[in-house]
Formats: sequence, structure tokens, C-alpha cells
Amino acid sequence: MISRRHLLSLSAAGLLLPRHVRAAPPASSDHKFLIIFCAGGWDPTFVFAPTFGNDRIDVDPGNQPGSVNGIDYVDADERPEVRTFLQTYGDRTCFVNGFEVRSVTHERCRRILMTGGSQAVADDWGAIVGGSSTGLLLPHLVLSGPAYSSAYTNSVVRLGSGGQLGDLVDGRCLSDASDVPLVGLSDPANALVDARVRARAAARLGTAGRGREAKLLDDYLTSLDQTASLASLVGELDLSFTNTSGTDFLLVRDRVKPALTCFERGYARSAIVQHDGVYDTQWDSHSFLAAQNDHFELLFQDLNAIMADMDGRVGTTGARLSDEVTIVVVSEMGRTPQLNATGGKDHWTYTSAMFIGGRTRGGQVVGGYDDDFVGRPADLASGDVSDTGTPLTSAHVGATLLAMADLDPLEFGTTPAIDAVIA
Amino acid sequence: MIWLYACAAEPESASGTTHTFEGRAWTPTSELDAGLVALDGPRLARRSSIDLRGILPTEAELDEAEASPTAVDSLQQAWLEDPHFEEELVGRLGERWLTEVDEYLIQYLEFPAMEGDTRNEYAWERSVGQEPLRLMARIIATDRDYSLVVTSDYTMADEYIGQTWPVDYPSDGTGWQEVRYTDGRPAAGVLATNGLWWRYYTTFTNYNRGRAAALARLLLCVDYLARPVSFSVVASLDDADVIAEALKTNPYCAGCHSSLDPLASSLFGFWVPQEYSAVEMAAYHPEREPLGSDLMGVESAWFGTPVRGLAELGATVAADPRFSRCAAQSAAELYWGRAATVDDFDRIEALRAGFETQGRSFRSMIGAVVAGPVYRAGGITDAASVDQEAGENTTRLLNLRQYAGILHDLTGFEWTYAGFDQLDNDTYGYRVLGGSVDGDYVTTPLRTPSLSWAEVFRRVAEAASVEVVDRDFTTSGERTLFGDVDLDTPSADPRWRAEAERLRWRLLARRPTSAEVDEDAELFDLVAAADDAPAAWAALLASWLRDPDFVSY
Repeated sequence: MISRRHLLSLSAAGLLLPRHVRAAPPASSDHKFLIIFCAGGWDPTFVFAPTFGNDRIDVDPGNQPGSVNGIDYVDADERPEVRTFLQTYGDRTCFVNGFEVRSVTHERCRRILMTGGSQAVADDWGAIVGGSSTGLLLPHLVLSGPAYSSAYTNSVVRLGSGGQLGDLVDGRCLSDASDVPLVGLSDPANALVDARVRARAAARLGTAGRGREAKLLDDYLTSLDQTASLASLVGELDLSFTNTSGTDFLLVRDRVKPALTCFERGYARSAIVQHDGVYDTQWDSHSFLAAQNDHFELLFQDLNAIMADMDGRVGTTGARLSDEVTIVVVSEMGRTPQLNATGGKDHWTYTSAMFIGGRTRGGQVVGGYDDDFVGRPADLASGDVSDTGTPLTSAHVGATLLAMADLDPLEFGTTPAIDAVIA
Repeated sequence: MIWLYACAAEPESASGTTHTFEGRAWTPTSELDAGLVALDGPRLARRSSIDLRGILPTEAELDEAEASPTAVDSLQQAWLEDPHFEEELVGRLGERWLTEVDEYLIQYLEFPAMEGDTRNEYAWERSVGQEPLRLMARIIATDRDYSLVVTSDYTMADEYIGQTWPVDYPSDGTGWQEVRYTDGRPAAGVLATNGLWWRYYTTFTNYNRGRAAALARLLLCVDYLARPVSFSVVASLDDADVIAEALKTNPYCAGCHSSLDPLASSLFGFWVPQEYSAVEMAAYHPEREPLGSDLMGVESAWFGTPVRGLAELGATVAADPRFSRCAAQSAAELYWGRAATVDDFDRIEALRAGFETQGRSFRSMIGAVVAGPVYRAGGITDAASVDQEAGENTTRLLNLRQYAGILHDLTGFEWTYAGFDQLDNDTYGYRVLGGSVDGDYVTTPLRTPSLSWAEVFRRVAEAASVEVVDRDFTTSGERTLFGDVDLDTPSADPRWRAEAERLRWRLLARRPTSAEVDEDAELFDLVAAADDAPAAWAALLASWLRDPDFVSY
């Protein structure tokens, strides 16, 4: 009888399942999530929300209607990557249009988008998914971008903006990230110290009184176990970022690779990465709105590359990794329908999101905007705009993600999922 | 949370009991206090020293705390006047004011004095962010009237700020000193600092509203952004005139904007048409003060009280009763390590009352906080409420800022790269990985261990241990940490055991059992056999620096 490991290796070598044939949908507990956060507030009129012939909404002059794979979108000659993406992956993509974030400040919108509310103490969707999973070494990876955690803090693993965690794990930090090379202990010595520290923490836990001490010690033991596990993977699991751009600019398609590897090997279940667009102002185009062209072009170039990358990887169930992963692309706010005095657009509480890949009912647009670019209510089951539908909020987006992870959104809040998005 | 303030002069607690504030004495009378178990003397001394000075207590101080139940009271009082107190305050205030970010809209290279040396980047960025923190820390540490935080005519600057901003810093000066701006800005304490407004910048079109919201949160503990917002109540969100009218007349909008906009209007001396201009952002623009009323259509006011720009704003803030209540709440939260709840109303009101009667001495108020049962709690009794058991901060976790400070004091250890303090930045270093805040995305210190925190502490402990062993045992001169042992002193030697006991006491504030020292000896011998004596000493020290009793307090 062929072993599962042998089966996977054959599959990875392309000797079993042809890549264009999808495996059966993975079990829900194997389903993973990659959240791409576009920082600053994108303008949905550049891709997600076709608005033509409405003089109350200013759009880029290069915009033209597009439709492919069941998705009506905004096409433009300046954004060929968008067209390519939807031609290739549109059947696995769902736009969610017109949900409200209920704020217009970056800081608060980020928190509301990622947690569903503005409370200072909350876990974001990725932390909940990662923290609700068991047996994972790196449940929720923060490659970059916002990360809010409270109850699930010990499930959140920060890699550092420059991949610093990888250097810490293998010890290169002492030599490569220091003006004067620091000297460490030998591996055997470190292992002995690790064991001693763990033993002390376990002993203290046995005598801990009531209060936070027991929780802190328990989390300390968990973190020590995780560091030991990571140490054993040195040389096998590379958590560093490899820049293939040829510039100092680390592309998102490169930054996510450690997460994809962790998804592949069953080490992680969720990850978040921040997409800064092309310019220093990120997506926050208070002036020079045309910058959104470049931002979206790069974003979809990255998405094309990431999907191709995942199509070529095998996940934990033997299926294509792209079938096991849902990519959720969000931004903390939208932009006003009309230009301001400096040729840009200001903050707008209504915005859009994308679900791509596994467990996504693709080839559709859920929700919409009215002629004032205000979000329209939508039927949660069908996704159609309806005056009797539900006004969508960022909590609905998060609830949908949780439902895709086979979690009950109502255990974590009061907002149901948009069932129309879920395959 | 939204902290609701009653306006009563003498509050009564729900339980019918009150807390008293007499200087620093604290009489626990509440049922809630009965749910708390106090730390023992040495561990309390350790906690107090870390929180007040950022360093560990000496062995003598620990001995004192062990010998007498009231010794910690006098130790705390002394530490409030210790030179380290001000420095520790800078970092602690930074965890609330969030000004120490890694990047501002203006970069260091925009200033000719900073060009030519990339190693200026980190130092300059930290100086910018620390300006308002240093001012507050100086006022608090020197026991001045806390109102000066918003009314002083001076600020703090070091040589980096001195070379880039319009302040009267001595041309041959070094280090942080009290200075004055030379561009005609009014006396308004932190409200007149570039450091505060560079962190809380505003766009050309938002007219200082974000700054006003930050002001309210930091000085009044009023968080505009926590209030639910309903945009659907506005008839047309894309019509500027409709929105302007809604801000004034629609109850949903006016609920915030009726006070937010007049406050924002008072800050127009800091408003710039181009927030990426170093020249614009470095200077105050008094000629722009009237623009607030012109552009926003509202006169400058502090919650209904007219103010003539920044000059009157500071004094008006200081006179607001919420200013002192927020001072009390923030003092409590800074040292409790948790947010205040409604159950803390009586405690905080007592702090506020004492603060007012003692000439607005924030330092004295800190003294009262650390003398109180919430701060001193090390455990929970059966009488504890559910909320207490879940939320009371009876065991705290060191974050990287604290760990670095303690290790530097103990061993002199520093870790720099390209001019950056690797334990205090996220560009190249490990600040948020190690549980500290970055002022932007991470706004609260880590409260419980995580994988990345454990990895950072592992490597820092390792590197610091190897370095101090090398220096103490191989370099002639005064030792920084180790005492009467040599590199080749075996674990069976009584001197070795005495040193282990001494260092455990110094580092962990717990007298070790014989079995624990035996375990230390076993570790020492194993590493010595695998490597050598220096590695054995370093491994032993690293194990203590990662001990749960070291990394928690």
C-alpha cells in the first residue's frame, strides 16, 4: 500500500494528478488563509466597481468596462495585470462591494476592518483562525501589516519586517545584524539551557497560584516548545525573505513565500502581509489619484505570481495549495467618489474586498454601490443587491472568513457570514 | 473603553467604602482588595525597581526588603527620586503616547546637519519621538506642577534636535537639556512640541482633526474614535457643503464634531499645506492661527470654552477637571499594566483628589499607585471577583525595552547595527518581536509570551551572557556582574555555590533552594564537559536570564 508521504511526493513531482485537475476540496481544518492588506485605502473605482456615465463619481480617464469569467470589472490599458488575473483566476474570484467600515481614520479603520470593532482588546480574523487550530507550529504568521491579538497572542508569530525571526532562529542575527559580531553559545549548550529553562517553567507552573501567573507560565512553555520545534527545522524551513525584484523593494510575492511554505507543510493556517503599493504614500492617494493605477497593477501582478506559485505547490491534503488557501485582499477604507482640490480623493467609509481561491464561489460580484458610491444592502445568501437586504460591514467580511475556516462567526461576534461568497 | 466621569466632588463607591489617600499611605478597605494577595517583599522590590527605575534592585536593597515588611515603602520613595526614574519614565510614557515610531513624514536626510552619516538615522528618529516624552518625564521626575505638561514655555532637546529644529540648544551641547523654541510659538508644553505633532500629523484637508482626537485621548482619556459612527445619516456624503452642515447640525455628526472641530481650529499654528516639507513642519506658523475659523467655520474652543489659539489652549486644558482625572487614570494604568475599569473608579478618584491637594504632583501620585494593593498584587484569593481573576495583572511580562534596560545596567550589554539599537527598532531589529510597542501598528506591550518574544529573549540572553563572562573573567578591571569566583572554579567549590546563590538572589529576588542550586551545578557541569568553562558560566547565566522568575515580575 502506498504511504501518504509517498503519495504526496509523487503528487508533488507531478506524477499523479495533472495540475489542471483539481483535487477534492480539502477538509475544512486544512483550509488556510492569506490576508493581503493594502495599506492606505484603495479606490474601488479602479477595479471593483464599474461606474460609468455618472458625473457624481470621478473615475480615472483610462477606465473602460470589462467582463470576464462572470465578473464585471473596471478594465484599463494601464492595468493589463488585472485583466490577466481575472482571465486566469476570475472563476475563483469573488468581489465584495459596498461594505462599510464605519470610520474614516486609518488607525481606527484598520482595527475595525481586521477585528470587526474598535475595541482596544480584540483578536483579528487571522489570529482567531490560527488560534482556533490545534497542533500548528506557527498558527498565524504576521509577515507585515496590522496584527491585533488578545486571547490568541501565543498563536501569532511575527516574522519581522525584514524577516528578523529567521535570523533569530538560526542565530545569524548575532553575526549578520550586529556592528560588532556577537558570540553565542554552541548548539549543545543552547539545548541544555533550553531544557533547563523549560524544566523551571514547568516546575513553577506546578506551584503557580491563582491569577495571571499560571496563564503566563503556560504560554511561556508553549513558546519554548515552539522555539525548540523551530530550531529543529533550521536548514529545512527558511523563514527569510528572498528579494527577486532586483531592487531594494521587496515584492509581496516574495514576502509571502515563507507563509506559502508553512501552509504547504502544515505549520501555519493563516498569514497576513501588507501591500504598500508603489509609492511612499501607499494607497492613500489624497493627491495624484492616478497612482492607484500603479498600485493596482503591482497588486495584481503580485496576485498572478502568488496564484501561479500556489498552483505549483501541493498542500497538506495532496490538493493544489491554491485550492487549500483563500486569499482575502482588503484595504482599510475606500476613497471619496469625487476628486478633492489637489487631484486626489479623500477617505471614504465604503470599500471593497476580494476573496480568491479555495472555498470561494468565484466568477461573481457580491454587493454594490449606489449612484453616490454608498454601499447598497445585499442579500447574504445570494449576494445580490437588494433594498431589503443587509447593509454590509467589515464584520461581514471577517465573519465570512471565519465561516470558511469552519468556525461559527456568531461565537466570535454578532455578525453572520456572507454565504454567497462561500463555495 | 469609554471612561465615564462623574462630576461629584466626593464620590461614593458602590460598595459604600472609600479608599483614602494620605500622602502615600493607602488603606485597603474595599471588598475588591480582599481578592488580592500581595507580593512578598523582595519580589515587590524587584517589581518596583523595574517599574520605577528600569533596573533591578541591588542585593542590599533586596536584603532590606526581605528583612522588613515596610522596607519597600521607603525603597519606593527613594526610587522616585533616583536619577534612573526620569529615564524609565521616558520609555513608559512612550508606551502610552506612542511617539517613538521608526518613520516620520520627514526624513533625517532633509536636514544638512544630519547628512553624511547614515548612523544618524536612528538617533535622530528617537530624538524626535522622545521630545514630548522627555519634557513630561522631566516635569514629573523633578516634581513640578503637572500642569506644566501643557503650559511650560520650554521643551527638551538633545544635539540631534538642536541641530535640526529652531531651539536654543547650545552649539557645543550634548545630551538632553531644557531649551526653548525660537520661532515664536506660545508656551503650551507638549502641545507646542514638534515631536508630538510629527507623530500625530494631519493632512492638508483634515484640518488637525486627527490631532485634536489624539489630544483628547492622551490628556482627557476621551476617545472620540471609540464612538460608533453612522454615515448613513448624512444625506449626501460626496457634497462638501452638505457634510459641513451635517458636522454642525446632524446630531450623529455633531456629537463629536461640535467639540472636535473647535479644538482642531486652535491648532492651526501647526497646520501646513505640505506635510512632506521639512521647513514647513519644523517651524511654528503663528500667522496661520486664524485660519482655523476661516477654513473650518468654527472658532477655537476647548469643549465650549473659547480659546485664542495655542496660547490659551494649554491653560484651558490644565483647568479642565478631566485633565486631572485623566492624569490619575493614566498614572494608574501605567503602573497597573492594565486598563482601568469601572471597578477602579473609587481608587482613581482618590488618586485624583490627592493629586490636586499635593500641588498636582504626578510623582507623588505614582508613589500612591505603587503603594496600593492593585500594584502590589501577586496573586488572587478565593474572594476575588471573576473580573479580577481574569484581568488583574498579578504577574507581568518583561518586554524587550525593559529587558534591554535591565541587561544594560547589569552587564553593559548593547546590540547595535548600522547605528540602530537592535533592541529598540523594527527596521533591522527586534522591538515588536520582543514584545515592545512600535507606536503605530503595535500600541500595547505584549502581556504574555509568544514565539517571537521567546526567540528574541533567547538570543539576547545568550549574547549578553557570553559577553559579560568574557569581560568579567578575562579582562582585567572591575567586574560588572560576577563576584568571588574564577573561570575554573568548580561547581563543587563552596565559592561556586555561594556565587550561584548570590546571583540568583540578585537576578530573581528569590532565595534558591539547595535543589535549585544543585540543578544549576548540573547544567554548569554538562556545558563545561560539552564545551568549556566560559561556556558553562555563560550558559548558567543565560538560564537565569531566561528563567520565568526573571522574565516575569
